[in-house]
Amino acid sequence: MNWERKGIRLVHLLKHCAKLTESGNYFDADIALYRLSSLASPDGDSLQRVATHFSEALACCQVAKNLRGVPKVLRLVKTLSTPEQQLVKQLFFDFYPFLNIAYTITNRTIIEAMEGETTINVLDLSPSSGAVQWIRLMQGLKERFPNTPCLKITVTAIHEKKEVLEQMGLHLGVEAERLHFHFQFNPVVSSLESLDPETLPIKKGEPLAISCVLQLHSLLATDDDNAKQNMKKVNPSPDSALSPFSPCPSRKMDCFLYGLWKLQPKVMVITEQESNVNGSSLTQRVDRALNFYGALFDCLEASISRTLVWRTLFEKMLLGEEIKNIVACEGVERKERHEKLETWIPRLELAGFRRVPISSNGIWLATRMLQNYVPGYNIRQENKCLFIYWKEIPLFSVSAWKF
Amino acid sequence: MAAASSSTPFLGIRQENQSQVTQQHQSSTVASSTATTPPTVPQKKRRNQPGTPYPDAEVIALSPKTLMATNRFICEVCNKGFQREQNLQLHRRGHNLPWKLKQKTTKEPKRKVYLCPEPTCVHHDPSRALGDLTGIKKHYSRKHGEKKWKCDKCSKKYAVQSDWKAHSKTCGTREYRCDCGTLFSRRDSFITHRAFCDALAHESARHPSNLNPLGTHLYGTNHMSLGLGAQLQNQAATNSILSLGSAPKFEHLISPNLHHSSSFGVQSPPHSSFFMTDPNQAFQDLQSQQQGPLFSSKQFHGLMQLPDLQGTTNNSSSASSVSASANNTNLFNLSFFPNTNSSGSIINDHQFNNISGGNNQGTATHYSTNSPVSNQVGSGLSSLFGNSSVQQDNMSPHMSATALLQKAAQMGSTTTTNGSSSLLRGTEELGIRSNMENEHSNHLRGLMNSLANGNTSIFGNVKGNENNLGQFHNVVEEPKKLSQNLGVCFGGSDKLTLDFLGVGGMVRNMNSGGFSQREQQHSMGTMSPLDPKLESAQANQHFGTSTL
Repeated sequence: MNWERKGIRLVHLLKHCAKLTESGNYFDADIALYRLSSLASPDGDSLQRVATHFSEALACCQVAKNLRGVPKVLRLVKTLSTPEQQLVKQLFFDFYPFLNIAYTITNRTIIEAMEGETTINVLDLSPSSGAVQWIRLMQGLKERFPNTPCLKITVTAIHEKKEVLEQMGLHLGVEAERLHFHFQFNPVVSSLESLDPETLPIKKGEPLAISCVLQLHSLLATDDDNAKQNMKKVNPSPDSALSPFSPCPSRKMDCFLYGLWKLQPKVMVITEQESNVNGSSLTQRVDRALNFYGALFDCLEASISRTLVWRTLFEKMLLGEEIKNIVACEGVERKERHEKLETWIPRLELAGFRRVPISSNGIWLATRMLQNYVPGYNIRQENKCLFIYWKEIPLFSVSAWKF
Repeated sequence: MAAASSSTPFLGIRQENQSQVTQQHQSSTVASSTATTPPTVPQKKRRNQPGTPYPDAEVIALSPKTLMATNRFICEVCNKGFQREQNLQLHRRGHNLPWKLKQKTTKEPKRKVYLCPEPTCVHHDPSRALGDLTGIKKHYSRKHGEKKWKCDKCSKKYAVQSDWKAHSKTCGTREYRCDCGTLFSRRDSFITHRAFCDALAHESARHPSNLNPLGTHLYGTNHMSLGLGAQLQNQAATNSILSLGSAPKFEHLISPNLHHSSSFGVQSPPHSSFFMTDPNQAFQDLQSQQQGPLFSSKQFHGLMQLPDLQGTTNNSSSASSVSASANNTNLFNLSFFPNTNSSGSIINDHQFNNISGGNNQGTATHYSTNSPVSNQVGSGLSSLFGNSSVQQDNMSPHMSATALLQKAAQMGSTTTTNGSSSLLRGTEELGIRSNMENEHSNHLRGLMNSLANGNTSIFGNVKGNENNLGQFHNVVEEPKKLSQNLGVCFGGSDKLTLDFLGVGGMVRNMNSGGFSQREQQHSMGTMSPLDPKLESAQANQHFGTSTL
């Protein structure tokens, strides 16, 4: 009982600290952090762990609001190198079923959409998890269409780091050769923000599938101050996630989506976090992010031993970094701008996309896949989209679109 | 203020003259003509005034001497003093003097209200007159009088004897003890101390060494003893895993790696080269010891069983073993501790070279792509992570972060100013509430008892102390919210109206004990303008005391 009370106190203290930091009351926020430092722990239960990372993020936030050099130096130290990033992304794939499910569903949806095609183009906007997804796709295609001769597959992948792309290209090449596909790999070294879809080496007229897993929200990163000024002219949406109908703030996103639409994809599958942390109010962001990441930490707690060093590392290097980004970064730096599917839908529709149903075969496979994981995850199909839940909390959404 | 001066004829107040002896048969109050508490005086706007219950009451202003006089009725014969007129009359019988007991006048008694003679006092104003003679006497002593009574235990001084008596009953009977052993008699100093007490900090979950995985169990309660058994066996195992984390070993490992080719699970020998030297020993030990549930799955063996990998992959080209190893070594195929970025890319290059040279088989199944294989991996992973054992080791589900977050949102005390100030300054208050709810700690019970007795000294304490003022303010400001929160905490007991200080309840319930309602309002009224300053003053003060 005492534990529960401590936990509740911890939560209240966190939220209170966020409120104080937001209002500029750094003195009291510091006291709150002092108290938090004794209550939170990176080795404790899931609430304590998530609280540790949130406390760290609030501390960074406070530092960032008052100093300029210190946060930059700290960030210098903490930036992950490419192999580290790859490692944590791999851990994300291993620890959670989310990516597995996303890939399965994406692939199934693509396969079903490409029925009868002999040449397939794939645009991968989020290749960080390596080539798993496309290797599986190729295998799935082979299974599904065993008699199609000489299926030609072209994969275009966008990533900032050349090494990642090279690795991916090699794996895919090997697999394609094994399966006797004609395979072509087009790596594009670029960030999503600076990408102009029209410049992509994709042949018009050929069927195209686009996949974007947990990356699309980074395009919402924008200079908030300017956006806010422009927003005043438009009715502010209560959600503070900038309404897609207001032109200025999500211009980057709208242009990008429109560019994608112009590529005329036969199918586009988007996987995103189902949480709205794209607000401008710090307390709101902390509140919502707490719920989201609390659930993610709970998943780990339920499935992995506390003493496993990979778990702590993963929590620190991926989840902690995401939390820090949400809480302590502002403007263009804040890339983790998750939004709920209900705000994505108007954006995509505005760009011209139409929703298509998700492959039911994929859903079936995904449900079966979940049996290999700790009980507690479920998949629900709502409104033609798929949501992945952890114990009644929606965490991720998968939706399929077409041109 | 027109009403302040007693010479205002409008109010018809006449001040008692200094000589009181003249009339024995009259009470010391001067009956005045039609005096009315002026409804037309513009002080009506003042807040904290629950109305004037007797608007047509007679307003009486007494001199200080009259107020403080104890024996006002003097026998003319022997000069003995009496407090009451009736007593004097009875005494006069003894002198064979004519005596008459004054009857209480039937008819409707004219209500009398009294003014404080001190002109700077709020109650000097007729609209703030007090309704009780005893009350005004005590008020005058307390506020404007000399404190003649001293508590022997704590050196607190009182002007009114009854206050002093009441205080000495409870003085020292309630003590606060911090977990670090320090004793406090005063609640505010206790709370201040606890906010920054390091002993309190050590008590919570933070445990010393990362290398001791059992440290997690220090935080635990009885639940953990279940996991301890399993964990103990794994301690050596986990220590060896954790020894992975020590950089020196790794550096010495990675350098040989730089010259190795691919680190995929291909047939060429040095692939799993990360663990070729010493830690392999550790891993072998690990495997021999790993009876623990963590490592029960065969699939998982691929993760740690790298020496095996070396042995088998030399011979076999079977997809399964390769894929098994491949599945899991992909965790290690990156230079995990990036001594340099270049090392990472060098490894990559070497990988590429090797792969392109052949070994399609190996890399092809690198990622366990087929669904049966992925099922294997999945199941391997789930047993790797050991469902049942994990739930033994970790806490039971009702402690999940989501559950706690939801509960905390329901309690919602973050949004009230009350809650926020208590979070920082008196986080212990929440703790004490919990004590009340669950453990019924003695001192709080004592507090409630003394409250029940209508103890005014606590109220006096609160007034006298600046720290408490702040808390009192918070309580007063939102007594309703506080009681709502308490409703949650106390589970809806009828003690809802009492808060931990008891002040909220007292404010509402305390009509006896010499505290008239108006006096309470008075004190509340004085506090509010101080609030904004109090907040910052409190913070500074708080921090000041934190330099322990």
